[in-house]
Amino acid sequence: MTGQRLVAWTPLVVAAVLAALTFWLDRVVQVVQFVDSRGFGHDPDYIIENFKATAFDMKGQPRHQLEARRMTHYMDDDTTRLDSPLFTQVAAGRPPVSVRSQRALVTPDGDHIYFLDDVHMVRAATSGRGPVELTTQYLHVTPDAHRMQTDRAVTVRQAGSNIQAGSMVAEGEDPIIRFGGKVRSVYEKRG
Amino acid sequence: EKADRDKPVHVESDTLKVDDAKQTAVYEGNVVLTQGTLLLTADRLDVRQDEQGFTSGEAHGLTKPVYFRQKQEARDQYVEGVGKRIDYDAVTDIVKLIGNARLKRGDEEVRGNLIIYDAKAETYRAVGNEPTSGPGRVRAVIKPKRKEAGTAPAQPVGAKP
Repeated sequence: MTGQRLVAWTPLVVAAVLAALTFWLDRVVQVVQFVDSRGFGHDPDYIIENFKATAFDMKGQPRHQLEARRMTHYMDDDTTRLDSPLFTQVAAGRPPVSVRSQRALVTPDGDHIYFLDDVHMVRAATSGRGPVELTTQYLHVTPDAHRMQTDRAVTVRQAGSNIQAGSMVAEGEDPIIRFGGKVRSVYEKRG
Repeated sequence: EKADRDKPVHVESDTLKVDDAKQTAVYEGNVVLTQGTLLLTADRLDVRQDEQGFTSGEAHGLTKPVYFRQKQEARDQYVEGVGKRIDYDAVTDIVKLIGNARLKRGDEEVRGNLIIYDAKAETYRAVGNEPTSGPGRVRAVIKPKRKEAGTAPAQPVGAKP
């Protein structure tokens, strides 16, 4: 009895497997299709060269300045690439903070800037406090959130002291800076 | 050694938290501070600095006591100490060993709740009960130097009860 039932069911099982297979294949092709059908590769839709841009806050005070040798905007993911960028953040009563590197990537909303290769940040000197300099190969800056972070080797130099670490997160206008990944500091001989 | 004063201070640790406004730095995890022959190991070190650099360090022993060691001037001898907390002031060269403190130098050893070691004069002073940490007694063991032929008389040790 069971033998006959088994025979009867076999074609149905085979058909079901085939159906599932074609459904899966269609899905895979769709995904690939999705990107192609728009017809956009990662090609720039506009390029600006050798520029200096200033952004102002609600009271008309300058907030950020951005200089770069080239800005390339990409249509497909709305990201922007900067070559030799120099980004400066200014705030009333605070020393300007500038970051430069070989290149940078900016997210569509412009809130996140990823600086890459020979990143060099400088916070200008103030009365009684020398400048602060940071060097690394990668720095993720969120200007409006006053946040900078890196998970790569980083060096921070300030009057008389030098800190080396494997990672860093700096938050706030008067920043609290957390270093991790084996910290090594040197405080020079007192002046 | 006196030359330690003119050496840079090196600090190593697992993590570091810097408060830029207050100019403080808190090192945590396997902290090692060295300055010339001076060595200090702790679980946590709070460093203060001014424009000229390192001014003072407050070392805390959380999992194990703080350990301190420094070579004595012009002789092959070390002073060693432990305490729950050790404060090192680089400006005045004063080292304070606080809480179950012990200081050893050659045959001398002193215990107490608070021991103040002057690294410049290489003298120490033990204070029995530190006001905050209840009764405590000072126990000092100072063995007279054995009179070997031709050795210089032992320098007076400034251990005042």
